[in-house]
Order: sequence, then C-alpha cells, then structure tokens
Amino acid sequence: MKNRLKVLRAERDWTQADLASELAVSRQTVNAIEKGKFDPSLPLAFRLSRLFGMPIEEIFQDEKS
Amino acid sequence: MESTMSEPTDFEVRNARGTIRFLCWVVTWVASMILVDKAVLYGWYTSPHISVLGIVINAALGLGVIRTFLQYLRAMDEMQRKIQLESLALAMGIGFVGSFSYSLLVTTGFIADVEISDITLLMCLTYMASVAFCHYRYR
Repeated sequence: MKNRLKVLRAERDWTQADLASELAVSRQTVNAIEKGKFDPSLPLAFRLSRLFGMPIEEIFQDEKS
Repeated sequence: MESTMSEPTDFEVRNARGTIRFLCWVVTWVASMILVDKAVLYGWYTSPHISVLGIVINAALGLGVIRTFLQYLRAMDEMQRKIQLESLALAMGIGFVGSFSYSLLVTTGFIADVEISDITLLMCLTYMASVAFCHYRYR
C-alpha cells in the first residue's frame, strides 16, 4: 500500500519523532509505514486521518487500484 | 531512518523502561533457578521443605516474568506486536518440531537422554534471532 505520509509530514515540517509522539507509536513504526514496509491498522489510519485533517483514501492508496 | 539522533519520544522511553523491567524479572528468575538447582546439587538445603520453598519461590518469579511480558506486549505499538507475534510463533514452531525430532533421535538411539533445557535454549535463541531479524526487516 502506497502512502503520502512522508510528504504530508514534510509539509508540516514535522520529524518522524513528532509524528510518532502524536500517534503514540515508535519512530521505527512511522518509518516502516512511510517506506511501505508496514501497513497500519484501521484505528491507526483513522488517527492519521484526524491528525492530517483529510480522509484516509487521500493518505493511503491501494497499489492494486 | 530520519531523526534517529533526536531525543527519544515518551513512547520510546516507556518502551525502554518496559524492556529493562522485563529483563530484570528474567534475570531474577534465572538467578533463582540456578540457585535452587545448585542448592539441591550441593545439598545446601537442610530439609526437603526448604527445597520445596525454593522451587515455589522460583515458580512465583516465573509467573512474574509471564505477567511482566504480557504488560510489556500490551504497551507496544502494533508493529512491535507484529514482530513479537512472528517471533513467538517461530520460536514455538521450532520448539515443537525440535522436541519431536529430539524425541525421535532418543527413540532411535542416536541420543541417550532428553534434556528439556536444550529445547528451551533453542526456543529462546530462535525468538531472539527472529526479533533481531524482524527489527532489521522493518528498519
């Protein structure tokens, strides 16, 4: 699954640590999501959606679609 | 990975504390097991009741290790839990297959006796190697 997490984070001038703190996860997890190595659960995706103020489908895109 | 040199987040501090707490419990439990084992071996116990007490204390510490590990797991984020799940599943699988192969080797006479500690050690090493590998994979 592709995502725009790195771009959205950069637009807000946040570090991975900032984002990890907001989401209450480790920096390794944020990094793995950004690189597409780990797909977050729906609750975590909703937390990201609320944090960035945009729908989930604008953050994550299914590579098959 | 970006920002690796920055201050650890609150989550990472809690995580590190959980790891240290868990390791302290494991070390205490292993130390008590060695102590009980050596005490029985060298006849330090003056009565069998004290031997049983030593074993009960060791078992209680073991339960403490399990409780602490569960708390440690619950405090993790979802990716860390996934790493633990994969590592525990692999360790358990290796433990099962290893123990059955081991017992077959005993049955066929290739090995004289079964040592449960060998299987336990194999499971621990598999778990640790798997955790390290998964952390590398999700880097």
